[in-house]
Amino acid sequence: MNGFAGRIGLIDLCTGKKTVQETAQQLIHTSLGGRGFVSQWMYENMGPETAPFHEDSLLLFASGPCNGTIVPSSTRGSVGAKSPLTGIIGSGNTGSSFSVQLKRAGFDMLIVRGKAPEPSYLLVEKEDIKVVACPELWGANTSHVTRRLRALYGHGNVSIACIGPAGENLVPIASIIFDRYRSAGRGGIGAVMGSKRLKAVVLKGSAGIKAAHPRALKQEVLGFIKALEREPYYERYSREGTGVIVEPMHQMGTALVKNGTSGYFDDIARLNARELKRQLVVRQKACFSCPMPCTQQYGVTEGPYRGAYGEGSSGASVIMGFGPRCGVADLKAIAKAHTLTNELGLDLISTNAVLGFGAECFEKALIDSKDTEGVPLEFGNAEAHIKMIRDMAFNRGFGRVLGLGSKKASEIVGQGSETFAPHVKGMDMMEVEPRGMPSWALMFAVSSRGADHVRAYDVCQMMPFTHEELIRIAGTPAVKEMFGPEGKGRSVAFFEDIRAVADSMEICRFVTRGKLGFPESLVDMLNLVTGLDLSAEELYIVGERIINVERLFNLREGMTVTDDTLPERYLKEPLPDGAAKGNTVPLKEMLRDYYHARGWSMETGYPNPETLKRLNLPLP
Amino acid sequence: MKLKRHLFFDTRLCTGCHLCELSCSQENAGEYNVDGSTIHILSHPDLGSHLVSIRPMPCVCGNGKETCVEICNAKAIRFVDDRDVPLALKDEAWTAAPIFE
Repeated sequence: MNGFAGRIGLIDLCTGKKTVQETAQQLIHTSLGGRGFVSQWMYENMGPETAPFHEDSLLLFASGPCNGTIVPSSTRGSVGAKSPLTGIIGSGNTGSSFSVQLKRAGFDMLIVRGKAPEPSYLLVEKEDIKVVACPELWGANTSHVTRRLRALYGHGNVSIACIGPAGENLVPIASIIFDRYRSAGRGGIGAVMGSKRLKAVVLKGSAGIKAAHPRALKQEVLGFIKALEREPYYERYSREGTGVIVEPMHQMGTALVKNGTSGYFDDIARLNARELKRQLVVRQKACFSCPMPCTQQYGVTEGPYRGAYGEGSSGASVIMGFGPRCGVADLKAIAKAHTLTNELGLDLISTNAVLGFGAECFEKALIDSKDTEGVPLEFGNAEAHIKMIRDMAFNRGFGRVLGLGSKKASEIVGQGSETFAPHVKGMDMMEVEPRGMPSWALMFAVSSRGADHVRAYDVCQMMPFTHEELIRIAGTPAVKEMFGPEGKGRSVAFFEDIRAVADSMEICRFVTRGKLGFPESLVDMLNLVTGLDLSAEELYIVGERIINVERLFNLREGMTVTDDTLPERYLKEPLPDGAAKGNTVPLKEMLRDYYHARGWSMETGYPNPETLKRLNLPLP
Repeated sequence: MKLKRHLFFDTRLCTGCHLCELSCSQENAGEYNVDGSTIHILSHPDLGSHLVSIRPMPCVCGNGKETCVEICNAKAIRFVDDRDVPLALKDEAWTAAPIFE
């Protein structure tokens, strides 16, 4: 079928044996590609008997049907594995060109099993997969590995996914780093890669990708780009990236401050758009095939962190995470912390989550400098945080504890710290204050990979949807209210479904964050690439099915309905100050609406039989 | 008489999305493949810089209908007729795309 390489490659690192099978039509029809492929494959092929670090566990890389075509922003790709941090589904979605090169190398999905006898990388090119020993690369930072492998295999058509020391050291918050600056694999998928002694995957593409109806596709794409340029976020993200929203978010009460001990950050003016431009060198660039250049190149030109340089599309996440969450107002130190997490192969969000958590424990004297081996892990001490980031990657000092993620760290620290450990199902929460944004609080509570914001990316309160669109999304215009629970359950379910579609087509959520993410906006491009004849309604069903498959995987792993919750702090402690002062999260009401919208049982957490029947899923 | 056309680019405007190459390769060979395009973008793998060049291959699109220009919403490239080359060169922002061999 057009848009697909038509092959799934399986490699067993124990034996070096490779198997290639056809990409089944059935898999495409039920799961589309990318994230959908990963979830479906994991559900069918990896049960609760397989521990994340066992040699039978699977590590998956997948591309989607639009990767490598002119479909705007179709350069995302998915990874998956059972998470050592949460024990449930671990999957992630990244930029870079790995998914494009994976398909151009001849594969829709690459599935890795087993453990290599010695540190190795995979070379994937021309429909072949080779295991290459690389003991000399073990221990190296991600930039070193990427440069060395590029020197061997080239630049233009090569993409490199690798782990840093964190993944090698089986740190459960280790990610995979793609082409130096992009990452995926929250929940320790980098550690799963490390457990397989797999340092890197080199994807060398050469094949062309055909579309079923290229002329009509071009017209559709030109129309999509015009529509994108009319969206309110296009201009701002293209010119300034996402970092500019930090101060406005703080003003709305949605920035997590000092691990949630406050709703107001005194130094927020030091982190605004003007300071960002003044203190850091910032340029904008685009990802492959994307007409919205929202990726920021940033660098530090002076001071102790001079020379720190990185790229990313998640500027707001970086600044809010290492900034207000950790009490830090030094943009240069924040830039350094970000480059370091990528170099060492740590998950950005988990890293700043455990730093904020650790700082609160330190300031409350639940731990002291004996525990931290002399590191003053207080809020605002960026130097101490940067030292701790290194210690996490190498399992040293108190980094050994924090690197386990905030759930396990709080179990070790004890003394009531469990109530403010920022996680759901073991997954560390991103840096949005749940009491300031209940819809995102609900997303954290129910997401299939634990506390997570991109699996739904509900933007109802931020985007200028029409009355009709709000009714369609949430059943009520009251969903626009920032703090109230009305409509949030249905809205989060809606956005989860449409994100599952775009994630499986492998289109970026920043470009499709508003109505351009609705299947009505995407289905024609998908059909013109593949030659399929799907309707928007069918795509909604595909998205809902993917969410349910991920749910069933998690329930089979032992997750229960009681795990769909939030840390106690956000449910019981009113926020002391800031724009959301006095709020707690109205979770119970939102959860009830969400379960109702989903067709899931409030008692068992399982999809109701009629839901499964409607989605053509077998009873578990 | 058909005028010869030259590709010019403004390096400050190119975002490095490569949509021009993808679109061009489709016209050239009926598939999306950045190795088969006439327009060729040289990108630094780490530092985000991009230069527009031309492979010594014919442009199959018609005058004024070049697909690369059509899809470039950054407006970083344009074609210039022979007679307008001096005028284009006068504007320092625009550079004639070098031949990539």
